Amino acid sequence: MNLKGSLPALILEVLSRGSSHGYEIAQLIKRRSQGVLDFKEGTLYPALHGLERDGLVTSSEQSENGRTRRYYTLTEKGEKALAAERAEWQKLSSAIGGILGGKV
Amino acid sequence: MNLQEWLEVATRGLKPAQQERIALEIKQHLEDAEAYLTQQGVLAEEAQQRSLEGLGDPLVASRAFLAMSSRPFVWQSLATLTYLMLSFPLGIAYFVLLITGFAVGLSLVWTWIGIPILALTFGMAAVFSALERSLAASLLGVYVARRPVYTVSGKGFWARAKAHISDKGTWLDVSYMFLRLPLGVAAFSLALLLWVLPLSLIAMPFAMHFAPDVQISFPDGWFGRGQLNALNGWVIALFGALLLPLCLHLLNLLASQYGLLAQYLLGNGAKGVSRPLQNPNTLQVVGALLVLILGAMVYLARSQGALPIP
Repeated sequence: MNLKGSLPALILEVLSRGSSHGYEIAQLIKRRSQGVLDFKEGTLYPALHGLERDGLVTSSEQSENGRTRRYYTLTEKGEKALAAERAEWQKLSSAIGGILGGKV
Repeated sequence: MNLQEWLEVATRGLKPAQQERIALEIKQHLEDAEAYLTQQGVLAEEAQQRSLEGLGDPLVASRAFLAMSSRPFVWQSLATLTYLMLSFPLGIAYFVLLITGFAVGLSLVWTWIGIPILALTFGMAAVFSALERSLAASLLGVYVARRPVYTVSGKGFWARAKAHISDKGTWLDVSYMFLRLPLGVAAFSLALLLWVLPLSLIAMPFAMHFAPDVQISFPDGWFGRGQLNALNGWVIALFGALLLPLCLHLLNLLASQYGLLAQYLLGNGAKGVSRPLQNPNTLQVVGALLVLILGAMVYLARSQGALPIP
């Protein structure tokens, strides 16, 4: 499924559970959507860098088991943006659910 | 395609520091992906191939990286204007200096004096191309890899001259300098039209107020016969205000094509990636064209007397 435009919000959601690196973020999004949300991993990094530029995440290089990786952490601004995204999504999904879900 | 080729396409046009960081992160990403796949029993070679495929099309990544690092619309539009307005004087300077250098140098090559003139001309072309690279980088945000001025170092003059002349990049640089004249004239005229037109429309009511003696004439039929009134002036200003952002979008679109050419010719023939100079908004660009076409149609219809004059 194409997740054009919603990737940054999904990244923020994954990072709200703790710092993580690019590969792990991609796997977590895929796993938590049970493979429905599949995307090319090359597009993850522009999204991550964009979030960092906007101050929603910060990054730093860390070593783990002798391997260096860049870890991303949610900032306070990022938390607020995520809360706004969640509220927006709930409003949208209940509106669409109201129409497509067959409720009267 | 291997990792190096993927990175080259995906990070083309970005700042060197940014390229380095992306390369490092993608390498780390692939190591993780390969480690996971080999753990699942996939053979190393296949794991490598599948991990790379998982990154997707490098062109898609490239567009996303370029769009991510773009400037705010107003600042980019000003930078674009500067770039396009500079192309005319620079185009003339390059053309005159290089054509003179080559003509005099080649015609005197049979005497010893032609050689230093030609060397000087090639030197000028190298300096000009360095200037063009930095202009493209600072104003269009397109980073073109620097080419060493001397491809063979530490050897004698003749070896260096031979290497320089037989280098494809030298000739691509020179052809870029020559192309700068016709393209620069076109860019300059378009840039001038596209920002002077909306600004002069916006200035109309102010001009009418502060300089009432100045005759502002429109073709008969545009706003009735005779003098413009204040209301007409404000209608024109509103039209100009609507036209301004659309014109700036068109200018940015035009400049991104110049960036593409700069990447190709100054980057030793490397295929460039069209850089979206601002978040591209097709609707606005199409809107701008429609407004211009509509304006032209109304003008033609009125000048032919097909539309009644209010």
